Amino acid sequence: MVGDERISAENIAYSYGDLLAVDHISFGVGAGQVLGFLGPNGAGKTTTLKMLIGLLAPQGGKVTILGRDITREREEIQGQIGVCFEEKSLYEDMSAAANLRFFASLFGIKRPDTAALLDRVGLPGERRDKVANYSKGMKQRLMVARALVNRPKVLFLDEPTDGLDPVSSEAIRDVIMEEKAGGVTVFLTTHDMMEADKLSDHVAFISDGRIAAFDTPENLKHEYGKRVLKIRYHEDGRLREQELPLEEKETGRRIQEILEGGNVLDMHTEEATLEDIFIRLTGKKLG
Amino acid sequence: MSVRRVLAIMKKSLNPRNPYIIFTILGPLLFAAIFQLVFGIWQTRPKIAVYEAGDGAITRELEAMEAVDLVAAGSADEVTALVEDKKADVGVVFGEETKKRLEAGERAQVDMYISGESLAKNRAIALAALTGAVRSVSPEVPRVYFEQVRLGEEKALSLMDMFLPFMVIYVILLGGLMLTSSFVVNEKEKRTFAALLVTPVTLPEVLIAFGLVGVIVSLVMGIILMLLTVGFAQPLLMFAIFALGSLLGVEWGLLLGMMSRDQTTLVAYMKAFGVFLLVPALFIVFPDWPQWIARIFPTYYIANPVFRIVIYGEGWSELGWQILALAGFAVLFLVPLLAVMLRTRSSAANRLFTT
Repeated sequence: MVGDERISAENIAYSYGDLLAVDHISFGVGAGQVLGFLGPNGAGKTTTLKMLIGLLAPQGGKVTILGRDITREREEIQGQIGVCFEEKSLYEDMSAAANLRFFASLFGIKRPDTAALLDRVGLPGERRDKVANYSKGMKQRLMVARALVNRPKVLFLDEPTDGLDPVSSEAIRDVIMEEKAGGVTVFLTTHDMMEADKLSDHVAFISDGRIAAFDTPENLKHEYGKRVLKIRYHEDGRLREQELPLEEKETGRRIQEILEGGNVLDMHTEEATLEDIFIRLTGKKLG
Repeated sequence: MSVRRVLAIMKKSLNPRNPYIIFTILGPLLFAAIFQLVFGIWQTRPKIAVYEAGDGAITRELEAMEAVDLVAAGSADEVTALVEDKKADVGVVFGEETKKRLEAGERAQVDMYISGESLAKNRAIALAALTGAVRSVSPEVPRVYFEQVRLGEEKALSLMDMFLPFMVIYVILLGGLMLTSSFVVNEKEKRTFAALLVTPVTLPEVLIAFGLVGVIVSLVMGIILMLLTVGFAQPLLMFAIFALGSLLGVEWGLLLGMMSRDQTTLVAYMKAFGVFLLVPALFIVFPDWPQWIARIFPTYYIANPVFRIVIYGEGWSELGWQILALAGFAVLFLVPLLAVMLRTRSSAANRLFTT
């Protein structure tokens, strides 16, 4: 948990019939922080997100956004948050700027700077063609721009880079970092562990509706990861490879032996990835 | 509830490139064009048979009017014969006594013989023309009252008359039901409903915006269609029917939109239920069929009053109970909608639109 929380979930739960999708989980995210909410498909990420943004009322527990109860002050909260869904939800018969103007009008913004918003996500502002003609990456970037139209204090992004080309993914990651730098709190659901590692201050592993771990990526790697030195060298005319645990006393002596052999090809440390840790903690893969 | 947000959604929904909007507007106009082409309504001016004692001042006035065709009669009996033989829509006899009363500015009652087959529109025009013509002999605003007397048998329905109930139901359902349900389903299918509901917009605001667009388009197109085809006799009564009918259509549209997962499901529902909406029109044009069956269907209370006004010139006194029944259905179908709107905070309603 983090002090001065902008997002707070206390023991929240949600079921679809007999299926318990979210099983009494708690977490919090502070101002200017990014929480990576990681889990495989069906783990409960989107249901949690829907409870946080007011589309589903928790069947147990309490959600507080910006210090307000979402079930009681939904309209007020929704005026100060931005949401980008995983699935495309745009008016495709309208232009990008018209989409932004319409959503801005719902927030009471009369003249939004649509050109600047589109420029931030790398879309040309002057284009008048329909969104229907946009590529998947362009649509996703427009979705992110739409989430920013009301200058939100809390940003919810559901798999924002899923299936995108590297350029579009990088554009969206840049926006996330800029928003974070500007003090915006970001709730990011993803199953891309590299992305979560790169962007998140904290990560939460969710599996079967429960949080398996919640910490900074560094702490998780330190606690659950294996830190090894991987060395490839030639010995007796054959290529050999060895992994040496960094914490063991014998490792230093063994490294020296190999180096003295003079046939080292390469050597580097190898930290556990978040994906390795996720698999270790939950026994499941993310993809 | 924010009026500004409702207006923003209405404005967005009235996208002139939306094929449903185009169809809803062009559909009735096309209908009117076919109606005119097939039945040639624009050519029929009311025929008035008149016998007038004395100097013939009223007859000359009528003769000068372009809105009516005058059929000259040599006697009072000839007037009634012309009406009975369907050679005139309306017949009037201005006897000596009546002329004296009118010239003296006294109150006079005149029998206006109407043909059972005349259109209400023609009767209304004839009545206005006669009242205007009487001014020529009366020193002040004429105090004349025309008592309608039907001659001949109850109207035998023409093909055009039979077409009318179907046309009325069609135009109400096109704007009210189809347009509104398409708005809801389109937002669901494109997943923009969820995008709307994570802004300060509430579900009732979205539904009210869609409903208002549906009512306005349906009402306006209904009135235009009537004006272009059979006229808009008894405007207040007709407006009440079209307004309540549009509201009912919109309520069905919103409910159907909630029930339908996508456009395919919506079309399937329309095919399944659409026929039931049109059933009353069949009973109206075949009055020998047991009418109690037609009265089960809400659309009966839209099509039948309009039919009775246009064909038989009936008014509030005859049709009041049907308007009340229509209002009752509008209230009845409002209940499930209100239940959904009031339960938005429980999120069950939101799930109808976002999952």
